[in-house]
Amino acid sequence: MSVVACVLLAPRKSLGDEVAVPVALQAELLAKVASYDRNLATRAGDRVHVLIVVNAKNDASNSFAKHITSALGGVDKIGGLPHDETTAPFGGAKALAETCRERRIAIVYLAPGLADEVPGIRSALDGVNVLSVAADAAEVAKGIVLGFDLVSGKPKIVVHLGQAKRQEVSFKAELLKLAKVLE
Amino acid sequence: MSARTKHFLVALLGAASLLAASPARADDADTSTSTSDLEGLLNENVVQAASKTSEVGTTAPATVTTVTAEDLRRYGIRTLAEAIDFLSLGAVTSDSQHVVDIGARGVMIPNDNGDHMLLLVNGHTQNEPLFGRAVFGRGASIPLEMIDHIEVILGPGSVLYGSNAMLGVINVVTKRAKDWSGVHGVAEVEPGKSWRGLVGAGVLFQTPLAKDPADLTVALEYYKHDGPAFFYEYRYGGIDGASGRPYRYSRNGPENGYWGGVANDGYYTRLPSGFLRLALGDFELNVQASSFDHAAPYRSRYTKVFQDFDDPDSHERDRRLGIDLTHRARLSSIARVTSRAYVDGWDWFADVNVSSKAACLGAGDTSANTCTLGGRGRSRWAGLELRTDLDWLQTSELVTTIGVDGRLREIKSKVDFFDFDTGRPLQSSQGLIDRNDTLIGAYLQQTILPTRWLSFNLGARLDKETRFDGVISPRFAAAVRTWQGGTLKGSYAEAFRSPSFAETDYVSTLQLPVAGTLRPERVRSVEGSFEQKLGAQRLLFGVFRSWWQDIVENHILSVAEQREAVRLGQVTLNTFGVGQFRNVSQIDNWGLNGTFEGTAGTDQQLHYGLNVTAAIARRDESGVQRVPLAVAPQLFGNARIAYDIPGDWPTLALATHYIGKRPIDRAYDGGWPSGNYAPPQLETRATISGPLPFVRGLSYRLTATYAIADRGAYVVGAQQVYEGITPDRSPQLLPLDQFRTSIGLQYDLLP
Repeated sequence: MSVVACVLLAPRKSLGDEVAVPVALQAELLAKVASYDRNLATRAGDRVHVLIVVNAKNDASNSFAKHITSALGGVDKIGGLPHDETTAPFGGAKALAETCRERRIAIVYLAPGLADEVPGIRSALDGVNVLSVAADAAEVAKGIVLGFDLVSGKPKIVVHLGQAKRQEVSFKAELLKLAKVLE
Repeated sequence: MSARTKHFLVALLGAASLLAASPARADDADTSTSTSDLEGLLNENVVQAASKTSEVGTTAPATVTTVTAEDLRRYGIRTLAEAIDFLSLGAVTSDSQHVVDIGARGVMIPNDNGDHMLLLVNGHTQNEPLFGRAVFGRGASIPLEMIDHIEVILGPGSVLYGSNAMLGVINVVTKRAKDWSGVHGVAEVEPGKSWRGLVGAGVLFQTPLAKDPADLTVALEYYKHDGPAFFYEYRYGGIDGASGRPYRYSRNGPENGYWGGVANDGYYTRLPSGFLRLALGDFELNVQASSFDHAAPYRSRYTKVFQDFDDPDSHERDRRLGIDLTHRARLSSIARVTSRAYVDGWDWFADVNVSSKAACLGAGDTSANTCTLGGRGRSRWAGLELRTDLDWLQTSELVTTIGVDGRLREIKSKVDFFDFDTGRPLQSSQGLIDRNDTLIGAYLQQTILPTRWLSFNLGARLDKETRFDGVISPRFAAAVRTWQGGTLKGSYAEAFRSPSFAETDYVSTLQLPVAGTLRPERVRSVEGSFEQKLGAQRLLFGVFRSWWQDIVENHILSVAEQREAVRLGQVTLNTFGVGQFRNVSQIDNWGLNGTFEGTAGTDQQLHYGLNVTAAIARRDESGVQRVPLAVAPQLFGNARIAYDIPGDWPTLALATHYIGKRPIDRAYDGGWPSGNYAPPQLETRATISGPLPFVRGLSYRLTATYAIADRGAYVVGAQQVYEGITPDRSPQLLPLDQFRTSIGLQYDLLP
């Protein structure tokens, strides 16, 4: 009973902060999906910089960041280009947009725990040339360009086409045929 | 694998991939990109039950088949058993009309109540403790339209789940509201035979109790079937020893000794059921309820031996209610805790009416015209499982899982005998079971990924209950990514089955108590497999070997044993066929299995797959000749192909499953001079499905199924063994419904 009490009274984070698609699989999918972005090479130059944004107060968020960093480290190329990953705490939507411009971030990966910030991030990234990716596919409907859902035990690509256009992400038709597309 | 073999394999898959490659689109100004690699990733199966965590099936510590919701719809699947037969690798079912037997990799134990396969629904155990029963046919009571996917995990699985997971684990995962949103209605008919109705809904809604929306899916279903009216050959059963006249096999029938005819009334199912899943914040609630009332018109060795022919009042009913509440919490960046509380109730009713004097003599009174054997049973159990996952490096490369599962159980049963016409009891209750039991299991699993191409999974579980000493079930598995798309896996695992309470505690005039204790059945298994993916194509080949021991069987006393039992006052002089549950036999099993599946076409509109299992399973018993297992298929498999016509046009699908020739259930104790093998079976189903044009939200599904063999592997009728009193030299086997059609309509009112 004391074990049960400890479990119930211990600090808790929401179940919604856990991702459905295994992180290593998300990394592999991102590496492949990025190659279908016509503007990736223009955006990234000779190297794809990936920024992983975390909610510093959220354990699931921090844990995901470490996990995706490690998983992406095992991927040779993203979109055919060499890449690097950095992690940064979320410090506001405008600051995020500014960072993406200044550091020529090609891909910004939102870790779990930032669901409340997504509307602001969406607005701030309008007109910013960056591919935004959500660890939780539910954020795509709110305005993140790309996410990975799990349907019938298989991963599913989810794309917000309208937001993609606003962020100068142009996915090829072959990818969109495989994805669930939201307008 | 030699370089030559590897090159051959890659060339073979490359040829298949070329056939499936997407051609360049002329309207795309950019250089087209082959999507085969991406399709391969999107075809990756993410499984939950193999390690109790989400992982890709390729490196899971077992051979796993995932059957998707789309597969179920596309191929006209209507039950869990059909999904296993038509779509999975390595597992197979056999329907006796009374129960659906399930086996895997060449091992099937008829009428075991499915207690060698662990069945889960959203991780909740379905096997009950009185008989160990899990239902895989229609009585599984899981609305097909609510199923998101089914994981069929082959091989011993007790390392995480405890008892019953000897053949494997089947986990049915239901849909979330996002995949079943709106209100849904289904009506399905097999003309002249059955109908099914379902209403359900899936909705996300905001509550003040949690930040995230609540996720609710719910369905109510009713299934009813009557017939078909099979014809059973008239067979002479002999002279009723109690009356001195030929047997009478129906309540108002003549005493002419003949059993058989057209069974118009005694083959039916009535099945109301409901299912609810609610996820709210950190909590998830699953509730499942059903009442499975069913009857079959014949008598068999295993069930209702003395039952009157085609008697609608001889029937069985399982009622169950299961409630499961799960809470998930993250304690820190490395620690997650899952707590699960569950409570289940299961009631069993079985009424068997018999009009033979000999049977009524056994029931206690030959003056009754018809006597009723009324079996009643119930199980109640409640438990709590706590599990901690420690991801030490926060990269899934070093994860420790520790869990404990404690359960309290109450099991009761009895058998009463009544005069059918007056309701008068004929004797005191027999087979009284009244038990309270505690079981506890503790498990530990360690996954290690020292490199990106190598992974290990080690684990063990200790189970302890009041009836036997602790049982340890270990597992060790390794997976090596050999080259792009290639994975080599190997594993060793053990599992056990606690004897059911019906086996350990049931005592009657025809059933002696267990001598001493019944040991748990045990299985040890090694397997190896190689999987190669090339784009959306997947090829798998595996070999396996298992050793089963202490198989529990109802041993029928020999003449000498019967004399000794009489001397000890355990049985009376004029009782025959007295049994006693014992750890009787071993099973030696080995074989191979393979899969080829994939998709093709510019829009992946062509789907295909092939699964084959070839196995040898031999039963060993001291002093008895080594023989193949009765009823167990040694060669079986399935194949499927489907094409999604673009636009609002239908999907055309063809699925077939094959079972090779196999010994009948009385092949070794029936003494029949001939006819001891059931014919091979090839069953093929054609399905057309799609949206109805001009009616938004309405879709249809038409199926037609044809089976080549008209006989199954179960002996039916009064002549269970060869007695030489009639010219019949081969047994009468279960008739099968060779041709079936169904028409289904589904209406989805989307939000």
